[in-house]
Amino acid sequence: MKPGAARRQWTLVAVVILAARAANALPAYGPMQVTGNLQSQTLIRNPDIDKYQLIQNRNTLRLRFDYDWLKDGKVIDKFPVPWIRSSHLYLLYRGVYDSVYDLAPGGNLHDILGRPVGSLDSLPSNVRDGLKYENVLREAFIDVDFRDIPLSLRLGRQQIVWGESDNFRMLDRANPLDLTWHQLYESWDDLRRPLWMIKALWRIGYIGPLSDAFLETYWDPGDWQPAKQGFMPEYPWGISSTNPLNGLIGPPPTGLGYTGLFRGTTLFNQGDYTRNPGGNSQLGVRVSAVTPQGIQFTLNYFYQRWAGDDGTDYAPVRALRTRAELTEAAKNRQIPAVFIAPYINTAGSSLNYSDEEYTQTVYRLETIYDFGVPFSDTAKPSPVPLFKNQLFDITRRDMWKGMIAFDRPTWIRFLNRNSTFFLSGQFFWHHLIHKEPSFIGNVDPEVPSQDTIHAWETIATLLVTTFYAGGSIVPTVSYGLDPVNTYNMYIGWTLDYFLTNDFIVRVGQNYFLTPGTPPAFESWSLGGFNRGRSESLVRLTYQF
Amino acid sequence: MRSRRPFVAHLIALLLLLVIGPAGARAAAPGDVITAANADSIADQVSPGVLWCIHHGMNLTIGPYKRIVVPKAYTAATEQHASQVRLSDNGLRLEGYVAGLPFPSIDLNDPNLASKIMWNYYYRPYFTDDYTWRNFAADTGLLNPDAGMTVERNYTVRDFGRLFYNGRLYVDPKPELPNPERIRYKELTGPILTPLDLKGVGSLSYRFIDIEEQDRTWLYTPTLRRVRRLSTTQRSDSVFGQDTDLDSYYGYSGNIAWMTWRFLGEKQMLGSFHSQHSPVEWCPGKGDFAFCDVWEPRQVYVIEGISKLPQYAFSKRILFIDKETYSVLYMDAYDHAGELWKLWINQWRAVDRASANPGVTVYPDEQLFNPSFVMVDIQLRHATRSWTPTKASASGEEELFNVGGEKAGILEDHYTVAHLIEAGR
Repeated sequence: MKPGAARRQWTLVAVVILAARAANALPAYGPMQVTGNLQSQTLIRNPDIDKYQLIQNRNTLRLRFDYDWLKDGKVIDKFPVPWIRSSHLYLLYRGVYDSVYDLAPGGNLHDILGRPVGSLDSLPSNVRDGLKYENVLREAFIDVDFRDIPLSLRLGRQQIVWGESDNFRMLDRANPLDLTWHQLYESWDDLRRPLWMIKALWRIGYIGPLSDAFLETYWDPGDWQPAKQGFMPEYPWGISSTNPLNGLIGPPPTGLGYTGLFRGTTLFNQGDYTRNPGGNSQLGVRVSAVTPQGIQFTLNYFYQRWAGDDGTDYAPVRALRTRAELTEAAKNRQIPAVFIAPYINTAGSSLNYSDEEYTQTVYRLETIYDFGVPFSDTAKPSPVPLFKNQLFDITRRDMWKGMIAFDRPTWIRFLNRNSTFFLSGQFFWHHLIHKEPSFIGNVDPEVPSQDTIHAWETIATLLVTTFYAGGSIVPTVSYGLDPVNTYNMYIGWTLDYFLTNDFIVRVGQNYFLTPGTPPAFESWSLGGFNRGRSESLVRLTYQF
Repeated sequence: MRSRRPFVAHLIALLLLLVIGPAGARAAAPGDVITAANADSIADQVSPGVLWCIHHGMNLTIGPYKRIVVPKAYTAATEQHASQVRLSDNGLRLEGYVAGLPFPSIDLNDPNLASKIMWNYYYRPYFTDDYTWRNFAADTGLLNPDAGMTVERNYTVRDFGRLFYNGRLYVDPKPELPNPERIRYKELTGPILTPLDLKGVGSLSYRFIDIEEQDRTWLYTPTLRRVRRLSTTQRSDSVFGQDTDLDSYYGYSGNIAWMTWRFLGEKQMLGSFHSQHSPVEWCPGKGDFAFCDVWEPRQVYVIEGISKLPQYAFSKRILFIDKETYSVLYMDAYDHAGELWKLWINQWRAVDRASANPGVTVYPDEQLFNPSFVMVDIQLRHATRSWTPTKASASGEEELFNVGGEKAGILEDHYTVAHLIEAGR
């Protein structure tokens, strides 16, 4: 489709929706519901007090369709269906027009070292056209609840979220992330990549003294993809680095004549496997229950490919080291490295407990143990001289990760006498078991020493929010501190103002305070990928 | 010798004041319409909070008192079991309770009088097996001095349901469901249908029979796509920032043991128990934050409650509880400076069916339908009103009493964390 035509169609859809809404023609409740929103988000990056740069104007249409097509064992209230008590259809469409690719602001974007990496204006128009639209049925699933057995199924393209943590993931790993979306100003609901999966939930009820027990499991029969990454300058809010394959692929003078990575694998997209049940199945299972003391817990297990989106300084590529592989790569003019997404086993647990008597606080805990995460090992350099300082084989190691957190609604009456302030603090850790000194993280050829992997990485976060004016003004302040990497800090605020029930204005700012030099590609990206990325936000949302 | 006449005159005046209220006041008569212009004439027959509402646009149409007969099954259970019910020495626990009204005989000289009335309220009629209030709407907004309220946020919610585990009278198993956890009731609210930013939000709460056991609450949050545990202590916190708080539902929805109760008196007051309008009819003009309907004289207990919980929003609540039905007419809540802050008013409708629509449930006894309620913050001049059925209701039946899960559309296994996950979208 021509870009102009796509834009016209998109505009037409928006106009039709607004007109339908004006006529109250869209049912918001009842067995069939059509709802959605139109959203325009503008981001201004201000790396310094006197520097401003437009980096995003993202216009998004979300359309949601809900249909209780089978209820009380009958289809459309008429035709009885044995075995099934109810069923629900859910569809979610997302269309995006990133006008910043048409506006193509000049100036320079900068990488993690502060080096200019070009601008949107410097990109060819066909590249910008290819980036500015998204048109996708993000989620499409059907829920089935059986009549005579305590079982329900969710079949289709969906998101599955487990665990207790906010904004950092451990047990929330069924869906990899699309990190070409903004990690701070776009919700995780938008960041996760929905996948075609089968999820089953069995309501157990009581197990001895335990109550509210259930077993939940999912199977992804091959749709899985790794975390999607975007580079600069194509994605000003993506990884703060240019694509490391630039200068390698293609004929001179822009490339070194390589056709791509080994065996046609593509960076952050496709490893050396097929996307079918035999080559790419993913599995997760958890059991949950509540103890007599009121502690809710889960025990979890995953057998999944490594997505690379939980902050770990893992190895996304493996240097080829065997003669057979090197010969094959040379024959096909492929870079002597392969993008990898190996299967790993993960065991984990989570729990929550609300202590009402002494602290009036909810405590949350989540922990996992990853078996065999891949790391770049400089003790295993590429035998190809050109790449011996840049490409390394991997060594796999286990990791222990966890989080403890609290949530406490707290009265601060001189600031708000009607609503409590919701305080939520989290502390995360990653521990690399048997770390070798030869491990390195993401590699920049110009500063190979910049990223020493730590055996321990930690971060603490705090969020405060409350309601004013009957819930129509919602301020939020958030803070993050990375004590391992030179005490890098993040502080941000947003203010949601409901001008009407359907029209919401959000303004906000975030600041990254990065006292340390040089920068590091550390786990939490406070002083690494987000260095110099203090930004201001204006978002307008019309919901219907 | 000093004359005794002034003393006698003062005594008579005081007695008259207690009996008939302030000078010039008289008992409202059927057919009277109470507006801001004549509100003071019934000042002693409503709470200070309701009086404030009348002065700010709410109108009452006075009707005759009509007796409400408590359902027969409840009366029978009271007769069968009440004699074995005891209040623990500290007044915080019921012993020997099975079903019905725990304390049918109220002695005004009983030192535990207030607690016994509140336990009667806790196990009041109508809410015995299950209860559903569905497809309801809520507005929250600013009160204007000369015009209708400015609605800031509007919500529609599919279900509010309660499943009671003990004291059951109608649906097997009774009088108690299998109950190893000693649950009093489970409560489900949601999913929110509109607005979109809250669509899908749903909560689940457990209330236990044993007072040592704190409530448990979980919330499904669509933006997180997962169920989150909530602290249940701050029940006086406003819900989503609007005017209502969890403890204020129905007048009071906290645990009886969480408050120190004091009996303030018994008197005749006005309450709306035979309202004519369902769907609700809001008052005209600036009074549209409240329902306009028929009010009638009712005999009420006036009870003061002071929270034992730390940081409770209110210094005290004053509950006005109908003696016949043990339902709250209205509740006034005071701030820590002792000033009236918020109030809750229930609109009740004692009938045997939700509407005249064919196919609605016809109950053998009158039920106490609740077409609307309002909670007003008189200090901020802000109000939240909620109602069902709405004018969009197709069935005419959005409130169900003791009909069982299949008919109510909320099965027992819907009151589980697992179901919150299953239904989360």
